[in-house]
Amino acid sequence: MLHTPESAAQPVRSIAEGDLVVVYEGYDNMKAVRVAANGNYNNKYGTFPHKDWLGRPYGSKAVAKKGGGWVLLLAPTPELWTAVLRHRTQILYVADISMVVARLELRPGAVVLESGTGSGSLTHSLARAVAPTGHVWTFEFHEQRAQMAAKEFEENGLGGLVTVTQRDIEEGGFPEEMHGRADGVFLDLPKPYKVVPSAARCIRADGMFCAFSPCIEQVHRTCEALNANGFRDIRTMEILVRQHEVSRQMLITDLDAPPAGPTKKQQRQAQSAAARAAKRQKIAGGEAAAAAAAEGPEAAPAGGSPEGTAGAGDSQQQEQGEQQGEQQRAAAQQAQQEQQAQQPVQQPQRQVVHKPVPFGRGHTGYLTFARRVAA
Amino acid sequence: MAAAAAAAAPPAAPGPAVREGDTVIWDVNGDKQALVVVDGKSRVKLGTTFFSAAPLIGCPFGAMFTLSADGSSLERTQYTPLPDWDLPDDKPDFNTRTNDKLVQNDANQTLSAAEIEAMKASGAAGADIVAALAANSATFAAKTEFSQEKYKKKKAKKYIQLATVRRPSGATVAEAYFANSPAKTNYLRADTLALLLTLANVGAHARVLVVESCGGLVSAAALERTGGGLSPGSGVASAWVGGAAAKKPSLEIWRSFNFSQQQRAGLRFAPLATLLEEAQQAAQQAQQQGQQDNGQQQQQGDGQQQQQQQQQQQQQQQGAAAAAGDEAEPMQQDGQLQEGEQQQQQAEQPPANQAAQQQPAAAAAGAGGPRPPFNSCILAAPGVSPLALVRHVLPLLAPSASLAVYSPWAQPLAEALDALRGQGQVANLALSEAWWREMQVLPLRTHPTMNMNHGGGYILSATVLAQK
Repeated sequence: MLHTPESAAQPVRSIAEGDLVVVYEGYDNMKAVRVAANGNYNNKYGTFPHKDWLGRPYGSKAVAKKGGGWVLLLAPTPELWTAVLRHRTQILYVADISMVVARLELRPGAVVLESGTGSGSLTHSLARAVAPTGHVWTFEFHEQRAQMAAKEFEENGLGGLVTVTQRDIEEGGFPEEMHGRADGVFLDLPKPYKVVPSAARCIRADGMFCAFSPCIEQVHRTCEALNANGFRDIRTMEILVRQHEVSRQMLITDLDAPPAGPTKKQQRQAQSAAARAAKRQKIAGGEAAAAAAAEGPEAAPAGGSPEGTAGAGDSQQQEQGEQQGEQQRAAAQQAQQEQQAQQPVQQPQRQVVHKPVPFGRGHTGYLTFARRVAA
Repeated sequence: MAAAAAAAAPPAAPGPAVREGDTVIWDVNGDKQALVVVDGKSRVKLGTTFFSAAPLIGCPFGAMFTLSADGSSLERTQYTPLPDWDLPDDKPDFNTRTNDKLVQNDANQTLSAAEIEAMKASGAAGADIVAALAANSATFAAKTEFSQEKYKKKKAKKYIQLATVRRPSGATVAEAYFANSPAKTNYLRADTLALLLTLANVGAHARVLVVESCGGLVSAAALERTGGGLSPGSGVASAWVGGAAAKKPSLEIWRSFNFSQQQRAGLRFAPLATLLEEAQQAAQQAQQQGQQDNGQQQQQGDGQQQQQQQQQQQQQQQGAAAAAGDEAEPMQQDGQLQEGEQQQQQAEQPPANQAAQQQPAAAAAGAGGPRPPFNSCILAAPGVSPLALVRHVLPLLAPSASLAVYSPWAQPLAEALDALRGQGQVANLALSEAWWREMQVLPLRTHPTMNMNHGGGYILSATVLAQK
C-alpha cells in the first residue's frame, strides 16, 4: 500500500501470494483482491486464476482463462484504496484528502490525531504522509467499525503507523496522554466544536487543526470555539475537483454544404456488423464491442449523432478505450471497414473536445483549518 | 466573553523554534509575505521601516511581532482572540440602525492627515489612532454594529502592523508565492499542488520524478513529503527538458524549506537526457546479464558500458555541483538578502549568484537522489506539450507508477488523454479541474468570500502499465 525501503530499492515489483492487488476493469470499476495461490477472480469477461498473476509485475494485464477478456493488476495506493474500500460511512475523497494532508502540514515523522476513523479512507493518506517514523492515532466511537478498520490497516501493512481506539471523542475528548503531542488534529464528527478545547490541549504550538463539516452551522460553532481556545488563522474553505470527459467531435465548418448525417439504417448496420464481428471472435462483452464500434473514433460517420460520440467520458472512456481489449477493438475496426465499404466517403478529421461531466459532487463539506497559537 | 475563555485555554506545548540561518515567511497582516533568511544581518520590513531580524532567532514559529510604542523596534506580541465573535446576534435591539442617511463625504472625517501623522510621530499606538479615527468620524456612530466593525478592521489594517513568523511548508510557501509573485511558480495554486502530490502518490520511500517550470516549488514540496532520501533509491529527481547542454531552469525554491543535509541529499537535479541514458543503461545491463554466453556481444556491451560510465561520471560531477548547493548556500543567501532589503515587497528574489552553485565541489557520499525507474511522477511544465512529455518520460517510470500532469490549460491535457487511452501504456486516465473557495464565517455574516481565484488549472492523472 505504501512505499517501503524495499520498493525504493526495487521499484519494479512483482505480484506475490498474499498481496493486495487492485483489479482494474474501468475507471469507476475496480476491486481489491487478495492474491491466493488457488484463488480465482471472476467477472463478466471470464475467469482469472490468481496463480497466473504470481511473479508478474504490477501494472500488468491479466488475460482470462477463456475468451480473451482482460483486466489490469495495479499496485494499491491510498487513492486506489479510496476507490475500492468498503464503505461503512460517508468517506472523504481525493480533493478534501489532499487539502487536509497539505494544510495540516504533515510530513514524515509527524503525529496526527483523527476522529472518527469511519471507513479509513483518509487514514491511509494520513499514514502515507507521516510514514515511516510518525503515527496516526485514530479514534472511532462505533466499536465494530473500529475493529474492522484496525483489521484493514493491519492487512494493508499500516499496523505500525496507525492505532485505532474505540472512544467517544465528542464526550470524552482525546486521551490525556495525547496532550501536547500532536502536530495536527483532524475531526470529522457531528459536533466538532465540542472537541476544540481537547484539541487545543493536544496540538503543540504552531500545529494545525482541521474539521470537516457538511453543514455551515457546525462550521460556525467550530470557528467560535477555535477563536476562544487559542487558535488563529481560522479559515474555512470548500474544495472540489470537477471531472472532465474527453471525446472527439466533428464540428461543421462548411456551412454551405453541411455533410449529411448517417441514416438510421446505416447506424443499425454499423452496430450489427460490430456485433457479428464480436461474435465471430468469441469475445465476452460483444455488446460493449458493438457500442465501441458505434462510438469509436473512426466508426461514427461524419456529423455523427451526439449520443453516438459524446460518451467517451471518464467512466465510459475506459470501457470503450481500453477495457474492451484489443481483440474487441479489432472487431470494431472490422465492423468499421465493412461500413466503409458501403459508404466510401472520406471522413473529415474530428477534433478533441472536453467538457465537465454533467453530474458530480457539488458539496462534500467545509474544511475549517486553524493554527494553534504559539504564545 | 471570548477573551475570558481564551485566558482559560492552556498554553500550547512548545513547537519548533527559529534557528539562525532558517528561512521564515514574514507575513504582515496576512497581506504581504516575504521569505527571509534569519541571521545576524538580515532585515525584515514592518510598516515602512526595515528592522534587524535578529529578534526572530529562538522564537517559536507562529510568533507575532508588532512595532514598539515608539516605532523604533520589533516587539513580540501576545495573542488575543479576535473581537469578531463578541458581537451578540440575538439581542432584539441589535443591528437595527441603517445607513440610509449616510452621505459619502470627505468632511466626515474631522481628523486631518497632518494630525494623524503627528499622532504617529508622537508614538501613539496603532490602536489609539484607530480609536481616534472612529471618534472623529461624523458617521461612525450612525453605522450599524457590523459596519462599525468593518470600519475599525479596515483602519486597523492600515495603522496596526502585525507580522507573523511562519514556518515554510509546501502549503505556506505555495500560498506566499501565489499571493505575492505568482509568475515565479507559474501560477500553481496551493490546492492544485496538494492534489498533484496526492495523485502522484508521493510519500516516504517514493522515487519521485518531477519536471516543472514552477521555480522548484513542486520538487521542494515533494521532497518535504518524502522526508528526503530516507532510504537508498528514494527521494526526488528534479529534471528538465533537454540534454546535458540544456540550461538548467531556476529551481531554487527548495532553499526556503529549511531542509537538513540528510533531507537535501534526497534531491537531485538532472536533465531528462541524463535520466533516459541511465534508464537505457540499466536496461542494457539487465539484458547483458541474460546474454552472458554471447562473448562478442558482451565485449561490445562492455565498450558501451564503459562509454556510458564515463558519461555517468560526468553527470555525477554535475550532480555533485548541484549537491554542492548546500555549501554554496550561505553565499547565495547573502546575495538574496542584499536584494531582499531592496525588494522586500516581493515574496522572494531570484538567486543572485547562479555561478556559485555551478562551481564543482566534493560530492557528498551517498547523496545524489533517485535514479530511474521512478514510481511517482509529477509533470508541471505547462510550456511543454503534455503528450510529448508523458511519452518522453514513460521509459523512466516503473509499472504501476502514479502520474500527475498539471496545466493551466485543459485542451493540451484533453488531447493527451485522447491520444493515450487505449494504447496500453497507461490506465486510470482522468482529467480533473481544481476548484477552491474560501468562506467568511462570522456571526450573521457568513458567506463565500467575494473574490476567488478561478485559475486552479487542470490535472491529468494516470497509472503506468507494464510493457511486454
